Amino acid sequence: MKKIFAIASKDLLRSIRSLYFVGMSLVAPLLLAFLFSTAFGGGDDSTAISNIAIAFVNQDVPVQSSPNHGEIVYQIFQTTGLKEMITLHDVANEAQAVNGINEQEFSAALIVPADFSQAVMEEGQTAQLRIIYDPAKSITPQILEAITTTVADGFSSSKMMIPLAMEELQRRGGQADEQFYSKLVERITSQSQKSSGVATSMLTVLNPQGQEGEVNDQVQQIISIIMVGMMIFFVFYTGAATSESLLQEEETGTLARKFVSPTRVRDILAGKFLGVLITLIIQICVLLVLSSLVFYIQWGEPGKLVLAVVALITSATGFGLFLMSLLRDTRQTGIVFGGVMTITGMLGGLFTSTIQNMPGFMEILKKLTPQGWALELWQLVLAGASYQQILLPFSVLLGMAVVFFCIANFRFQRRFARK
Amino acid sequence: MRRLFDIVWKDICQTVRSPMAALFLLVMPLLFTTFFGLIFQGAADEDAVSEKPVVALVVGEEETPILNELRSLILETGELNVEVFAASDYPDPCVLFEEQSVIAVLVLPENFYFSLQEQIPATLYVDETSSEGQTALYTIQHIFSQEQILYSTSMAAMQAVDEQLPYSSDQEFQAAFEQVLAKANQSWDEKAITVSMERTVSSATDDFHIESAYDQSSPGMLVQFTISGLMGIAIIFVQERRTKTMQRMLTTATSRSTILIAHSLSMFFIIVAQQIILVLSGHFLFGVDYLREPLAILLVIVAFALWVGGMGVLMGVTAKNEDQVVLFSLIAMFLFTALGGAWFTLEGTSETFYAIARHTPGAQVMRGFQNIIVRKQGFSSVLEPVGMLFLYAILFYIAAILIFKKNKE
Repeated sequence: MKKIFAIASKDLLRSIRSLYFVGMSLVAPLLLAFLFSTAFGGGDDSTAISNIAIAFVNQDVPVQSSPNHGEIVYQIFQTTGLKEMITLHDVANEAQAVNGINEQEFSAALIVPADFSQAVMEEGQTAQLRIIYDPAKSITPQILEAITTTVADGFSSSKMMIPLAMEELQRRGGQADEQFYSKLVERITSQSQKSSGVATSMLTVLNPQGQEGEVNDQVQQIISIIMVGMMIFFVFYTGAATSESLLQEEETGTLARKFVSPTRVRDILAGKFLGVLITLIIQICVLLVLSSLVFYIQWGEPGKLVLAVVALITSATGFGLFLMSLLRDTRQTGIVFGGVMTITGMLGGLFTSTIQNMPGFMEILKKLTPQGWALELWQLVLAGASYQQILLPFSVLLGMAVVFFCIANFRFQRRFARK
Repeated sequence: MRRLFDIVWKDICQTVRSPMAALFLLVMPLLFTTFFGLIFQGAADEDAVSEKPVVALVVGEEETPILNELRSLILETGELNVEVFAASDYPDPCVLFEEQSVIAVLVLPENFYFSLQEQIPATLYVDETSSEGQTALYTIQHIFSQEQILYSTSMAAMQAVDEQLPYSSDQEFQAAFEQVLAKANQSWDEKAITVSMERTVSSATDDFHIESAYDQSSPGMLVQFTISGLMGIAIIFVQERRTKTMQRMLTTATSRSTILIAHSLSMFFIIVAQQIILVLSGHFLFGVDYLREPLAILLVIVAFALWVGGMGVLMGVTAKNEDQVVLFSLIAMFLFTALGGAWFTLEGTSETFYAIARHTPGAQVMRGFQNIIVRKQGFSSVLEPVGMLFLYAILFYIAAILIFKKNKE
């Protein structure tokens, strides 16, 4: 037993002293999570979408004494809630706006046509607010379209109010006078301003847990999911990289020296396996603690978290040893680290965990890799699933770990028995 | 000059022979491009999703008058399916998320009307972090918002009439209101103000390729794997130093600058060749419109290769062993790819991230490629990003030369 621990602690020390280990096991996943966290506004009060630069071209020609309705559109975009999201830049004409979009100065342009006031004021007239956008953008045009449509609906509904009121008044035998019109105009103005609000008072929106969703909570969830993906990828990577010491020692002859000592092959392999296991425990503990401190990730109930950690570590160790048992020497390991790890990670959905509506084939492919099952297990733990729900991915991962471990053990025993 | 090309040729042969190089330079980027392209295509293609997401409508035992109207309105959008559940079966509507395959749960209070002002609002339970959840949220919010506009417009018209010619009773007012609301519903199909969406792409250009699902993934993966591919090339530099072959070369009439230039040139040629293969694959295999401005694309490739070459040489002279090259390359890849908008578009990122990221070399490459393939702009559109890339290349080469000159190994 002492020999097993001696071999394990030697491998562990070697790993921890290596800059490569520290970089790949700890710095890389944290760096990626930090990048994503900063990218999506995690950790501070800023929203993911803010200050979208929009060129505003007001070509509106007011009708007689009516106000410039293009100006009213501009003012609606200056109201609280919208001005933080969208910054309008007055631009003289459409050509300049398009030029600004091409130069990536603006994400899109909102063009108010010359007949806008006429369409708002005069019966039978219609007009179109045009949004011209950068085809390389996908989110900002959608946001601008949603807001502009609400503003346009406000004008359309206000205009509709006049014939509705007139018709009803006439039906009841009444006569429209100056006072009636002026009151109607007051109501139209108030209606336009109210309609610019996106939310509706008839609907309360809650999250599936029945609580009010906060934007920061949602960002936090996205960061947690990304962090889980990165952690699983790099834990599997470290599992394989640490297992490489078997091949390295075989090449440098130190393994042969161990075999001539009064140590059984089984003990040497057990020591090596234990070394990988302890290395992964340290890696995952550091990542869990740092990510909860830096990114405020709530890792869920401790009991379920321990189960997820056990399943991840055993499956990553088993998979790493299994891969190394298939290789002849360290010259082949580059392909395993670069190719097999990346491809299985990719198929396991580690790089696409935030994408929804995945094609059906991806769900099938995910189930073929240990990384896919690990991702499912960790996502369930993060979502606060019950023990019953996490039982299946936990059992599958442990089963896979046993199978990988048995194959690796069998191959290494046979390989070293010949020596 | 001959010595220089000998070293270049040796480096190229050494790289081409390595299976790792083939894996990182060509196989992986093509594989990833296909993978992400399929995913984005699948995610965007409605047919690929076997069924539309389902919204659960939870209603009380008392008849909810607008149930059928609301169900029709949701189904008309074509985005969602609807299933109706009794509130008595699900006192806690959140249970539906576990027991049924639903994306959102909409609970309607008893006697809920769009036209009633003082009433308990409906409750929508939805996961806003998922795209399906967002679709459900926006669809239902839009329906409610439209109904509310019609209601408030009709009500405002009625109030104006009531002030001018008061109704005799609430019943009369309500009956008239129902009629006005019905007329408003009819008129709503012909709105006075509508909104149109147009891309900046001029109508003269062939915009056939605009919708390619690979327009983001192809240049994105090209950027990622060009950066990661330099690890194989930079390793050669480190191996020469570690195995002392560089010191042997220095005992010949080969100068330090010749060695540095030769390694830079070999990196440049390999990266240019890699990018040309990836661009051609992107064009012919994935339908990305790279070749509509071949000269502009070539210029971006050259500038990108110069910058990546500069970074490779810097890594080669800085790293002490192969492991460090791998580590530095991967960190560089993660950093410049994420900041460059190769994995996700920068438009949805936070202000600080965007302000920094848009000036990074990766972002300049993406901008150069996307100006041609997505924005359909001309040759001159790549000059600014290319100029920035040249500047970055100069900076990296200067740093590499200074370190190499100091290094007296």
